[in-house]
Amino acid sequence: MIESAAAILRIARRRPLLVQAALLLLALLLPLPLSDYYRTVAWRTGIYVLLGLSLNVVVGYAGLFQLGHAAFYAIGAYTAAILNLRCGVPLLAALPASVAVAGAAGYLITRPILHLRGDYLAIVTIAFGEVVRLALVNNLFGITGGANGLSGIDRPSLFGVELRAPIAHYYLMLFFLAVTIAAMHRLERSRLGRAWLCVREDEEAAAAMGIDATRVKLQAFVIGSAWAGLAGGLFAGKLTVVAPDLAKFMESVVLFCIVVLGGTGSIPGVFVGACGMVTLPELFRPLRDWRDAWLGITMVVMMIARPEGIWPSRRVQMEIRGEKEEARAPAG
Amino acid sequence: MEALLELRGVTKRFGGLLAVDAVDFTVRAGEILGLIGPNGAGKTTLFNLITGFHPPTEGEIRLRGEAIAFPPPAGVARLAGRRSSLPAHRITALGVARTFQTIRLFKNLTALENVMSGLHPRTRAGIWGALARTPAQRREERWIVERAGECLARVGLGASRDELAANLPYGLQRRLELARALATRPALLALDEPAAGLNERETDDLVDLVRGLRAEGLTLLLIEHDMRLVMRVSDRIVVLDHGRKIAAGTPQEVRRDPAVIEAYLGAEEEGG
Repeated sequence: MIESAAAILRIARRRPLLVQAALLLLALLLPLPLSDYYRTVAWRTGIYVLLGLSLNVVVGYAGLFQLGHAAFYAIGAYTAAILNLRCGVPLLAALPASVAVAGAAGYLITRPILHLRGDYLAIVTIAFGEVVRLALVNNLFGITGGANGLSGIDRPSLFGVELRAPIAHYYLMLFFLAVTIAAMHRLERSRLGRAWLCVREDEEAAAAMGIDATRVKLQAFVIGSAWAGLAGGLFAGKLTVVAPDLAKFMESVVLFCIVVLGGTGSIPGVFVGACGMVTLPELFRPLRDWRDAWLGITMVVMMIARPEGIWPSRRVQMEIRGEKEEARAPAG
Repeated sequence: MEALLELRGVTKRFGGLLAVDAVDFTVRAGEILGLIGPNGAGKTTLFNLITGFHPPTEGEIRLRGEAIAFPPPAGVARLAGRRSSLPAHRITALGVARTFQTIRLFKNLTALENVMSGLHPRTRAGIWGALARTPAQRREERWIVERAGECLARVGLGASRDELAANLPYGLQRRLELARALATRPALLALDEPAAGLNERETDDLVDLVRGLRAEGLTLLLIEHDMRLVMRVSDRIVVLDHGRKIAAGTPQEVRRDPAVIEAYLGAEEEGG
């Protein structure tokens, strides 16, 4: 049993294309036997994977604490909603604007706080997340609809067909998810991806290598925020309602947990994290009130037993394990 | 000989502590300049000023005539947080590379990846290049790997390219730091105690390497505690004590300089 599993893993390692094709096929076939309810659960999970991947750029690759990420998700959703309701822009055509506005907001919000480190950055990002939520509640510029949000957004339509069924939204989400994974994979293995790693490991040594830490961190924030905006736009198209709750702190915490518990800096880790944080509570609906407790318990257990996450990237695992060993080693 | 780096009246205060006090000297193109002094003389601080890690309190530093550290801005510019030097990454891009006194490699990256990071200022691909994986970006990536391999081979680390930096023995880590600095293609290579912790044979190898690099046209600035090493490789030596320059000249001149003898031996005489 174990041997055959190991054999499969070996084949998987040698033939990554085969694995990718199999996973894609699985994702394509997954909703077919499911009821509409479970298709929606699958869609929701996918959206959170998308959000997790976007946050992973900031937290995982660049090693920056971002505890207000849901704000950009909300900004993306509101952008699509406002463009659709006020200017009659079709939802899919509004998606680029969601991406652009969320990215621009990411730039403006993080530009002044980039020099902050670690926990200080975390505190400031929490505050900014709340600022965005309160601005939405207070009906910013009179266009965000206050505490009730905005409703009656058009559903997206493709080639003249309105996407109404959950399965259609699932495939729309899947398309963007596939694009995102490919993009993240490429970013990881690029000059910029390496610069992020260096800044995460040692900012001063990175500066000595001619890496502009401020610039690459800003790029991580902007890419992460813009991608969260995309997820927001997709959300607005499915639910046809947006509300300030999208930007609430708990949402940011869930996103952070998805990245950290799944395995910081790892694409498969984000899938694992999203399943644990979103799918499981959804499947065990009767236990929903226990969700926060579940979150807390998992956090505590994971931090003790496996701080690098369930499916970590090789590097983060080494970083965390290495630090532990250093801490254990006798001084001198 | 042409001046590569010029320091004029460079001063650094940390609160009430005067770490570097109005130091002037010139590094000529193609020479090996040793920077020595007793503990706490301000050598590493001066190094950090030259490489942009700290902005100076006063004074000016020029690289090939271009100011990289300048008198502090006044008025609005100061309030806006303008520094009195270029940031470290810009100075690296202009051609000053450094190593650190305590090794600061990217420990969880392989030797090759460490050196690849040094090629960052010599390459251009950004977000779009990475996402679209354009032909130019792929060509650049191939060039980076090739060039990083050459730098590793230059310091004799060709066989360890896929080894994690953390797993290399100490002597090789020192070499890797050197290779990483070389990858930035510097005009001036600043080494902060490169022989610290090396045994005699490794030190000899280092001397050969440093001389070889100079022969290839590199200028070197060397902080070193090991007097024998400094005397052996330096063309000229600058001596610091209590943040001030007390002597400069060839190794022979410096060795005979009464102020230097005083600085190194004075404390002992007073104590005895």
